[in-house]
Amino acid sequence: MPGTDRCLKCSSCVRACPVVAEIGEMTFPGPRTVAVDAPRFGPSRVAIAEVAWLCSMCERCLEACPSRIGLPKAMLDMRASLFPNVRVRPGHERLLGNIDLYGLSIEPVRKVGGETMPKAKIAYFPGCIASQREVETMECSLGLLKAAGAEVEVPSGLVCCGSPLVKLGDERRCERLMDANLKILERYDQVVTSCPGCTVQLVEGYGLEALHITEFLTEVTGTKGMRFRPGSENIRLAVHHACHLSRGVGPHTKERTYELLSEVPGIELVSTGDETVCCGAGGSLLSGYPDVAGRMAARKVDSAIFCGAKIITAACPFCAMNLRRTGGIEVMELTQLISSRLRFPGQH
Amino acid sequence: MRELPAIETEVVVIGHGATGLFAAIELASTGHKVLLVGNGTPSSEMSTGCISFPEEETWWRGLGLDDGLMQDASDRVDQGIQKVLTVGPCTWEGTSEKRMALVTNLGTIIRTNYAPSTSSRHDVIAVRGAKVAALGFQGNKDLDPCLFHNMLRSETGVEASSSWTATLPAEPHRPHIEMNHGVRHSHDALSEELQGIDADLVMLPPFTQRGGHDRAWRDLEGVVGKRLCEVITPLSLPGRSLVDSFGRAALEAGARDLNGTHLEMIDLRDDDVIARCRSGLRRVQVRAAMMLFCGGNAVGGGLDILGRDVIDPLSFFDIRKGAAGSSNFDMASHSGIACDSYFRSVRKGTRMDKVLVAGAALPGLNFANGYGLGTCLTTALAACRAIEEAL
Ligand code: SF4
Ligand code: SF4
Repeated sequence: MPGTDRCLKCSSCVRACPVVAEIGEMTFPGPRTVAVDAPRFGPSRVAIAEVAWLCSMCERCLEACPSRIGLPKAMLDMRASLFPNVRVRPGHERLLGNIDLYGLSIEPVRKVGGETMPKAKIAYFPGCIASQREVETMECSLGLLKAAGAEVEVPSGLVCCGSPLVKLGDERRCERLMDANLKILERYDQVVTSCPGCTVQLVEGYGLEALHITEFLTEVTGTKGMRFRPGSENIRLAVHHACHLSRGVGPHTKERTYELLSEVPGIELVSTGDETVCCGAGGSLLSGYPDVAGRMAARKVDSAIFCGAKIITAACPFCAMNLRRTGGIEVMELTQLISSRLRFPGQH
Repeated sequence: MRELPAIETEVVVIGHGATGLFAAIELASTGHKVLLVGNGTPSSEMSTGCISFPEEETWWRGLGLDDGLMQDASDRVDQGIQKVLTVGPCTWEGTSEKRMALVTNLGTIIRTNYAPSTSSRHDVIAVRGAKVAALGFQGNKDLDPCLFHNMLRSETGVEASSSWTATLPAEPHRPHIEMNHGVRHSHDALSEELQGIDADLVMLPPFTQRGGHDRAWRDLEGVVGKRLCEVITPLSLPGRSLVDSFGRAALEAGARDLNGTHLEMIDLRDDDVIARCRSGLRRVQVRAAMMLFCGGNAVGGGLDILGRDVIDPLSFFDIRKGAAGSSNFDMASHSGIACDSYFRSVRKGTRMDKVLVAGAALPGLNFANGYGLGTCLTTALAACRAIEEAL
């Protein structure tokens, strides 16, 4: 599928890569070298193994490539071929340990999923981050889904979707997780997620027609059921388009995000010009190289502040978490932001 | 695969390079509902960004294009370009006289013949009479100022001052500074350095990313008070400012841009043309009365190199007639786009007159980029006229 024979050597991909922009070509030579050239005539596999996990899987290279070469996929193939023999980063080691111990990519602090409702046909798949770290995202998402009229529940017994393992190149562990989840999710008519990484994995890995919540709320239920508080004071808001949403799930989700935001009163959008640039969280970059991911996030936050934003929003709990790590600006995951403006029953 | 709600439009333009955008501007500003589908860096972004026309006035003869339409388009194209270039970073310098542009690669100079000055920031037109300097970034091999100095002297006799700076390497691993509207803030150190240079025009290595690129350069120019030019290198996209200008004009004219969505199949079984597209994990159908295909050299799956054949997809298309040859269409389908019912329609002797083609996808126009895009823009105008007649 990657079609690396079509490479024109135009370097558009290198130019578009946010990791190259952050740490330079000397440290990370970019998608063309790692994914296209290395497998055929590149440097030794040892040398490539040093840099192959620096990619954040943001798919900007795929978007830029005039030949539409599946660069991120080629990068994953490269990782998968190296994985069994490579000494993984400490962060990745912890991640793998957590998967083996808890079935989650992070250490769980709470139990998720309750009694099943006989009526619910829709499963909300929170993913590791929204169920254990960005818990408000899960709560707000469920609230919005219910407000929009969906019969939704969080099934118990779910484990990590396996996306981080695909990104690491560990196919064996991934299979195990997928089997466990699939048994549960098959019982529902529809799966809705908050995390774009999970959405992509559930669609591509599991073959489920999972929807991201931005799609579900605009294409399926509509927002009629949501009532907002009028006259709230204006917020100057910068938008971060999560890579796995705006490129992974599809560019239509950008329109969906703005559609949802346009429903919310009192929002003044601030254009930063780098809305679609990666925050550095994805592709196991945050677990493997937290310093690089932090610098990339700081740059986005810097630019939002520079443009006068007071809050930055992302329709992804993982991006929200990474952006928040910088401490520079208030970060609200999209459903959290929308919920904060909802009018609750009895409120006028 | 999930289908998104279908989108209806009057004309769907495939390709968001110079040709597609120019056609979208023309159609949208004459009141048509236009939808743009484009994906990947267009080849016009990788061109020099110069607009020029072949010496021969009727250069299209022999390419199988409609003579009347092309003549008409050729008469109007100058005016059209001038109108577009009032939007965005490029400016029309008001002359169709052929001039020398000096574009650079690692500091070497290439001569290009062109008319209006639209090349991103590479035309060192101001060289004559202006004080020129080149500033290289240590650790960044994209511009060697000493080489530039020598080349400029031998080509034009102009002496450029040249220097290296260690300013950027204060962030040593970041030759390409991330682009955003907050650029001033990240360029403080660089602008100080530039202010200290005694010149009217400074050549710099490329260091901004795609998206908001010209805004960064203009902001920096504003702070520094000098004209800044970016050298063309393997990492620069010299035609980008031009494409940015066109893109902005298309949006202003009212075209809707589905950027990032790409065409998978053209379906002609219906009365309408249906462009079956892919948006990430989902499919989306665009239903239109007509399609203008401006996929250039980078069609769908890209310029496919199979064995020794470089596939020039969709050749043998004609602006008036649509498809007229089968083997090339067959090849095109290998490179990413399938076309349902094509063979059926040809066998019956009918033509795909709902799909028109313009730009570098036309037979014989694959030289368009090297020639400076004028040819592509002319065919875009001709195709727009043909579409208006047909609608
Ligand atoms: S996916 Fe993103 S980070 Fe990875 S190589 Fe491509 S552009 Fe760079
Ligand atoms: S953008 Fe695509 S064609 Fe260009 S160098 Fe990268 S992989 Fe090759």
